Amino acid sequence: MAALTLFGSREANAFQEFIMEARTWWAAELFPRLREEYEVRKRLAEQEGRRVGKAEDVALLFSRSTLYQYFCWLERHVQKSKYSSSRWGLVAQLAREPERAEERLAAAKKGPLELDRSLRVPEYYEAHDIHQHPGNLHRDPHAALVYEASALSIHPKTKKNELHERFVEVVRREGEFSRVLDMGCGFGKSTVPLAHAFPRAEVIGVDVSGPCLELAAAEAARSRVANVRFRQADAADTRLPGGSFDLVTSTMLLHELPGPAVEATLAETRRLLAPGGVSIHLDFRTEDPFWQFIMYGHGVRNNEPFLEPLIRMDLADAYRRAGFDEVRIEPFAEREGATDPSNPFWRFPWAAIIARKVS
Amino acid sequence: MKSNDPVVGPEAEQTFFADPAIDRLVGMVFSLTAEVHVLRDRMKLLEDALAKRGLVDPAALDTMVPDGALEASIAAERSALVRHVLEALPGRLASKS
Repeated sequence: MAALTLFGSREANAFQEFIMEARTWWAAELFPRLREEYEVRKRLAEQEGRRVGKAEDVALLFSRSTLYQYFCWLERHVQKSKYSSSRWGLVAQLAREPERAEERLAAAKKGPLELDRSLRVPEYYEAHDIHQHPGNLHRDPHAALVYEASALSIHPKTKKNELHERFVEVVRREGEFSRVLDMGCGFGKSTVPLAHAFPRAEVIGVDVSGPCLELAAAEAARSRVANVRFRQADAADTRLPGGSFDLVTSTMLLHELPGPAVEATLAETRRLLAPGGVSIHLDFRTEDPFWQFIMYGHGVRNNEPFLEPLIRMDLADAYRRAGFDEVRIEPFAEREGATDPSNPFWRFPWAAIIARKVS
Repeated sequence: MKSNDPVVGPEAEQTFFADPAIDRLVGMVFSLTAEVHVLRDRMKLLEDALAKRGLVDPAALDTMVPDGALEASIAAERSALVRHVLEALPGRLASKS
């Protein structure tokens, strides 16, 4: 791997490289040991006549596990250090190098961006610093750069942008599209690949975070993608004309929303689609009690309180209630072989939720 | 995810070990390890640069005694190191959860 050049400071870069290494070790070395421990504890429990069929049963198995305590600690604190270390954390270091941030964001002024200064972020968004990001994604003007830097160490062993490029391949399998909306687009990590994949389409990304949209627009201007624009709006109430898209997507949006906002976002998705239009929301689903236990804990440890409710939600039913006729939930591999049961590494249990508005 | 800690209140960091002292201790060990890495990274860069210029014999560094500006610089470094290593001790949140 090439040396990190996030910051002008070599020390800060070396610290963030250490964080990435620690996160990778956690995912690729510690997690497989935890999984092995689970198999042993499960076998012993079943020999004693105890059934292990739910996440709560798995929690009981790990209630006295030293390994699990360290697993949790590292998951919480590697992330916390990455953001909040007083010495070289992303927030502190970016504040020390504001000119670097300004230079990255300068292109946003020429970018395809429509901000809504009157938009109030939803209450749930204001209430939690998701991912342990101090101030969340909407307060600090440089928050998107912090988020972008943080994302580097979220998916160990996955190449940069690989997940988003593979998502575009899933989209392509559903057809050709000419009017595309990417909800909760963040800094445009999926929106821009969608615009590249469908060069004749008009692609719009919406998000409530102004700083994220500024970075998205800056990147779009820098990479000269002509068919994309960004607009500040809540996915649950975009104020865009009904029936005006043939594809509505999101990646990693739904699990950040409380139940009523998920329902409203699905209803808005359907309202925005023209008849025959397709929606693909990429998020997390798992029926495996071990993975449910891991993900529920991840939600707590990473300040994502709506992750567990989303995994527990009957999504197919929620789609039907939103008026969708056809819904498929398919496992999604963020890299080759990721969904293979023999893959020993920690990962998110991605799923593409594909729905069509027939009429 | 709000803490129910009756003493610290909502600012209390999550804990995972039976004794929260261990949580904070591991925090110090983790930060210290990061410090060691960053230091070794810098040392490798420095030794490489100096050796390429023929300015330093790495073996002679062992007997040097810092003074003046160098000593002050090392003191500032030491202060930041102590703050970094010990910042896990209060057990407070850095972000709202």
